[in-house]
Amino acid sequence: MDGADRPSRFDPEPPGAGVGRLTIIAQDPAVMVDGRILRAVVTIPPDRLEPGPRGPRFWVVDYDSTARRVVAPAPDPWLDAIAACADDGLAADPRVRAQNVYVVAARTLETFEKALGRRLNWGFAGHQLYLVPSAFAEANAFYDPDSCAVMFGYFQPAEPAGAATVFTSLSHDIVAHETTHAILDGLRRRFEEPSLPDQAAFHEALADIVALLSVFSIRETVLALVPGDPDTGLADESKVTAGELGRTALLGLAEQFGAAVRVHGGDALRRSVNLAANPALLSAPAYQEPHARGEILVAAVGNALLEIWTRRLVDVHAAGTPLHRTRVADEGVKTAGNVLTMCIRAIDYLPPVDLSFDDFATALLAADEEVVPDDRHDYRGTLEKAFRRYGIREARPQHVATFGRRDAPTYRSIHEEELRIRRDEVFRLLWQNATLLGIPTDYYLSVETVTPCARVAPDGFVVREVVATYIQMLDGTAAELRALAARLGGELVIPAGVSDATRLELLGGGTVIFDEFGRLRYHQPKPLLDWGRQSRRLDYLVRNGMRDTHGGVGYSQGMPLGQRFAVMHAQEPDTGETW
Amino acid sequence: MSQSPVRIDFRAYNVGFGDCLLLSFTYPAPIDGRAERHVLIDFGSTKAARGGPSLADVAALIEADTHGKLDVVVLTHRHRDHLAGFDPATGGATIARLAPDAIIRPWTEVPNGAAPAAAPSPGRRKLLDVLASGNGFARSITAIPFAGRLGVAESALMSMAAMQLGNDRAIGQLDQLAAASSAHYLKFGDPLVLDMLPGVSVSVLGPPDPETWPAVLHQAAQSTEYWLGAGSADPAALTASAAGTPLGMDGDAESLLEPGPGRWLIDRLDDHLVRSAERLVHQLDSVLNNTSLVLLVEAAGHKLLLPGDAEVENWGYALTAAPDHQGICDRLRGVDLYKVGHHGSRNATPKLSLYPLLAVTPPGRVAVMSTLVGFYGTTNPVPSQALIDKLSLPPFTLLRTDVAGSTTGARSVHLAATDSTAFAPAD
Repeated sequence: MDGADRPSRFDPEPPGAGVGRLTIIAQDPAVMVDGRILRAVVTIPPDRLEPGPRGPRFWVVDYDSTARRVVAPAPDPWLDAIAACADDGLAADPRVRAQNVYVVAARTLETFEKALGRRLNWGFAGHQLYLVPSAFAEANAFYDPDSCAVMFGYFQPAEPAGAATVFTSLSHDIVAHETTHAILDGLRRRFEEPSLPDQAAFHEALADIVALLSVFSIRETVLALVPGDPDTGLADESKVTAGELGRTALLGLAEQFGAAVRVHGGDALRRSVNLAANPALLSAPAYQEPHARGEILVAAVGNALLEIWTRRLVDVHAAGTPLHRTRVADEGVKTAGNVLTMCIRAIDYLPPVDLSFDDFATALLAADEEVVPDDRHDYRGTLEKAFRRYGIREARPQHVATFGRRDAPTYRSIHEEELRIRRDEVFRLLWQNATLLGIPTDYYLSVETVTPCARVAPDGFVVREVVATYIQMLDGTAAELRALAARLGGELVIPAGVSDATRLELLGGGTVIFDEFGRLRYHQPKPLLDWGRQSRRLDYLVRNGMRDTHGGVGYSQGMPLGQRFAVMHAQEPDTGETW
Repeated sequence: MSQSPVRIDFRAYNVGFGDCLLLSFTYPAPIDGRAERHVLIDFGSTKAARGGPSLADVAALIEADTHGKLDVVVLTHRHRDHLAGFDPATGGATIARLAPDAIIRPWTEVPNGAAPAAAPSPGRRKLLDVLASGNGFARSITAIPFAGRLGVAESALMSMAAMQLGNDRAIGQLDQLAAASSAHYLKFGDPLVLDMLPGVSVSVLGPPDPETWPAVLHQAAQSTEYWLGAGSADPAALTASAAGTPLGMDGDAESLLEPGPGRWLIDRLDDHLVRSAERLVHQLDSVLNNTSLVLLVEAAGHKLLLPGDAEVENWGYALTAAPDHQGICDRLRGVDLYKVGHHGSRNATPKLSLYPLLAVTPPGRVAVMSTLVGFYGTTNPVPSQALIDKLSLPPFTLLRTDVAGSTTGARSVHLAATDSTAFAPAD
């Protein structure tokens, strides 16, 4: 068939004008209201879509590598396949899966782009992220940057006998979670480097936070899940408490998947808000694994959300008016939207390497203070307290003095226009101010990203800022680096079992933000020569057997980047212990 | 009963690729009517030696060598090459007749129906989940029909998967024996008192508790979701893929199969399938090896180190990280007899942290390798020639079950030592 004649290649823009509307499965096929699978009509950018669906940022390829079958896509992606499908046909229809992954992924990206005020790049060279809605028979879904793809598996639950196949692509939470991995990878490429457990845990935590909170942007879904009487419209006040709301499907992640793999008592895959607050969790052995550790951060954010939400309801209720479900839902939508935006905005303020939960808390509070100085509903205070209850402490953000101080940065031979777009100009600025910023210039230093971005200031004006990241690297043998640390007056502790000849790589870096006049405003450093952090990192990597193929510690692990997401570690590391 | 043994016999039966070791102690005077005590360590094989005995033949030899009574049975871990002989269809019935008084296994082997211990900690739970889902996965891999042409990689995958499979009958037999005797499920540092072996001390140097030493979980086991789901992977697709079966199509999907970005992705997904099966099986192998008991036996002035198939990650805790690791290293200096770990593989005799402890003067150290060349591993064959070369030099004498001339027949290695002489070939 001649490609030009394909009937599917007509100009498929969404019916109507400025916005595209399609239906998704609101949570997953296990979440029902009145015996029906909960669905939601949502909006996505009104792009020209080709069969797949295939748009400017996502490309759905329906290939099942287990069954070894390809499925022809629907000819008109704007024809709503989910709206047209009865409940009992949803799981069997490949077009439903294709539409669900496309729409949920597109909404997730839109959420990030709205919060950050700019288009975002992927972590790979292409423009389109492949989405594979039934990639293989495995209870797994993952983002693989080498394939520029997110793969969604499906599986047959072990029990009850004859249970329906679970498609991870039909779970809003799983699609949003994996898409977030891909988006965060584009924003902070080096969060895949071997580091302390917080960094991998943050990838999981942010993905869970986005998955949970983006459900709240669909008002019908929130309304359907708010406890109360749909006939009178009144909320069940005894159930509109932080504790009770935390038990609804709204705060559970991947309900159907969780029930099928029978973790957490067969409820959701994760229900982090129920994690009792305890600052000691972070050092407990059970919370060193990334997913478990991520739950600590999710619990802090989730509980802060519940607290703010219910506090707003108490205010309404105190006025003597009966509590309507619509009001409960509206306050939830508003609160969750704000908290999610705060979390996403924080990303620009994160250091590019060795991220800790503390850094995230610092970034979140600092970024929000910039944008919303008047914190009327005490979001920042509530989040700060929630972080502390889980042992996460914000540090003092490093605002750089701008005017009239002896320690203000110099802008000699710097051009503001160049600073907005060119790595070399940012490097020049760091070089001129190396002493002020505490950047040791004897070691490899490279500016990796320069990102202009816009936000709306409290006074309503658009502010154009620039976010830039730089990294530092140092590699050598254990003996050399220990000696170097000693010469500089520090101590690098080499973990037991690491020989003097083992090669180590240390990473450092930072994030700098320039204001609309090109002035340095904020610096979030991860000093290369912070020997305490470097020692802890080496200890963690060695303890967990994370070495590269040559036995080195701290290097990318001898596998294509991104395989961490698939938990692919095919090669056996040569630790020097083998024959 | 304050006697001590005056003679130790060590036999490694020629089971091909596997382990079957008999450790016998002789006392100067009978205790409860017998002057000898016998400990069987593992009894399995995945590939018999050419012209070698069957497992049933070996069972008969064990019966003869123990004079009809076994005192202790140790299963270091549940791989087929250490376990298959306990199947009643091979040697299990014979072993049952020898009525062992104690059954020693790693902590991971507590039978399902056994008395409920405290709920396992998260790290242990995870390791148990990994082992359970891994077993299901290995079973489905081995079910791939051999109809298609399988390449080297696929054949290696199949034999490795076969190795993972728990033999239910053999495990059932051990569970029965354990129920009728004293059962021990051990990990690093657990005390082990064996009253039936006076004058013999046994220290447990592995496996470490995954709670304190997650390295034994292997990096691959870090994501619970991944492993829980692995059991449902359908390896039939591997067969189809390996055989080049054309892709099926629902509707007019022709355009996806034409050269272009969609096709590029489809080819990558096919690769992913084979790669992930290989990866899973390989890692399961290591995870299971790392549940191996590592035992240091001390008696009659001699030390014997029996590490099963423990790999680097298992050793790592005892040798480099345990609170008393320095003391452990000191005790390992000058071990008289080293049962070479994992049939001589490249990563079961840690080169930096273990080998130098074993290779101390004076000469007279004995290394015993129970192995079969040319059966296991392609890129990294077992046994490793580099390790064989090293263990063939002083201060070691290397004895291998697969090399004719070590001794004769099925008892391919038989050594004995007394309280005043070193280990030397016996019979």
